[in-house]
Amino acid sequence: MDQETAMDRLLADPVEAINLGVQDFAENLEAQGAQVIHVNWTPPAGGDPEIIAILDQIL
Amino acid sequence: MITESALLQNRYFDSVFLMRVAKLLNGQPGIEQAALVMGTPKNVQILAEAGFDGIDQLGATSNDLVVLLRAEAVEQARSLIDDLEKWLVRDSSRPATHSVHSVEQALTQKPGSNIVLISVPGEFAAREARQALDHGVNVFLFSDHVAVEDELSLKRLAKEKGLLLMGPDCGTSIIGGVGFGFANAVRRGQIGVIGASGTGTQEVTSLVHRWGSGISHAIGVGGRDLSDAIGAISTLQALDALERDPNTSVILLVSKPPGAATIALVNERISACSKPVVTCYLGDTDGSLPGIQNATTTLNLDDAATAAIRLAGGIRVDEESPVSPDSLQRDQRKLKASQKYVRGVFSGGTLCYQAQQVLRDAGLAVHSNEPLVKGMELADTSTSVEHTLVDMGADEFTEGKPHPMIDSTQRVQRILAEARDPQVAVILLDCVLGYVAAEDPGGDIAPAIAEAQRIAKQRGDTLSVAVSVCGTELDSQGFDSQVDILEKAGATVFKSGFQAARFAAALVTGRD
Repeated sequence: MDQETAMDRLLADPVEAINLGVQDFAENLEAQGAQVIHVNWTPPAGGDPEIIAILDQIL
Repeated sequence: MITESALLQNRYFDSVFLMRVAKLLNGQPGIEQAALVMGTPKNVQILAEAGFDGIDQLGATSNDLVVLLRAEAVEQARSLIDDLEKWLVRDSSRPATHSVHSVEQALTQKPGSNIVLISVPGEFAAREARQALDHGVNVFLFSDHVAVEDELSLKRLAKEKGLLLMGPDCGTSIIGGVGFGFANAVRRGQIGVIGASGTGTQEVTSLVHRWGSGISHAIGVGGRDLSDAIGAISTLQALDALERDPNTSVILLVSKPPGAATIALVNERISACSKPVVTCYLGDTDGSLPGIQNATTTLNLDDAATAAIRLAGGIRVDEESPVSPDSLQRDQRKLKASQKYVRGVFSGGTLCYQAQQVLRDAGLAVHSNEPLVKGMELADTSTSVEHTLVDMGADEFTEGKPHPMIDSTQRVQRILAEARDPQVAVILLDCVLGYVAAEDPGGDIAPAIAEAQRIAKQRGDTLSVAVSVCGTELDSQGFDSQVDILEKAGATVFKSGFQAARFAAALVTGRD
């Protein structure tokens, strides 16, 4: 048997989710009894692709 | 008619919330049309093309909320804009947002997190998915408009790290009984599904449940995964994972036919699998897997669910059909000779695709905005010709507008337009239940079904409306109550898309 991967553990363990984007999805997971943390996401660098590329290079 | 606009800087809201607010504002007195979007370049372009002049002059960024109101009088629009904050408050009964701003911060609070669900605008989605993978977490990528090059590099990265990347444009997954995106509430069982399509996965998991069996996991892989550009990276990983999963005894793979180079890879993996595998390559005419002992090939979702149930040791529970050979003949006799065509108005892409296959196999030439057969693309997606099945969830209908599984407004208009064509014999519809879908999808289209039949009756015609309901009695909308609502509106209601399409095909073929 190959070594257990994070993908195998996802299928074996209870779902613990992080939600980025549509908040309804977080609420839906919570309603099903799953643990979920909703990220207060906003577009990075005001959504400017050039600044995002620079940030990605330096961080 | 006047147009008023407002720009709220540095106020980010998700698209589903904004569409809900827009719908509420559309119902206010004197408001002709309300649009609320984040000021991404793509959204600004869509609104400019929709005739909102001057939007590109507002100087909006992706972090700014753009509000546009078309109203009868300027006072009505201004009064709403003055009160805007009132509309931008989320229902207080809903859970509060955690005060974290990135996956990294979320992992600090919950280091055991095992999946990140991403539904941010497409232009930012690949970056967020990469960060999640870099942190060693699996990804469910709902966002669409992710470049194929990004998909390939993300999936290679995921594979290298032993992680699963579901998507992009992944509509549905069920992991350990928890539904992600548009999914149905189904009992747990031994059948593991790998789905390259959202509604294909919803339909097959719902059928497995209603026909007496259950689902271990349903892993969405995104519509492009089995193309030669991606080479089934996620599908092969999912096959590995489900083969190792002790709760899965049968694997069911739903997809359009794989690419020519990819099918060899998939077949090789299936033949090496220690568990039985059912394939359902929709659109295929043959689909046989010669020489693969443990593979069962099927060509529609009903047969796929049935085969998987049997292989898992179950006995399929039969459901009553709303039609018999006698009732079909009676319905055929009510049609005038001039009523020749099937018109499908779908919210689920795979249900539309499967219906095209059924009509094709019945010898009918079908037009569509998402055609099964090359060369049958509609010249104008807003107008049907001859036999036409339209996927209303396709990009051209959903850019800047809600998906038809959430909001039936566009579908209702299209149903009524089809009813006005005296050459139409039957309108074919789907009604998809489940998490995130509309609260009452049957009730949303029922008045249009009744009205369509009234329009036909006024000119002396009898118009059939066939609807398939996708879902289970565990879904919040209630399966039986949705069937009941649609039947009361005058529809012939089927419990699978395949059966509804077969009825529509039978109605217009083999007549005297």
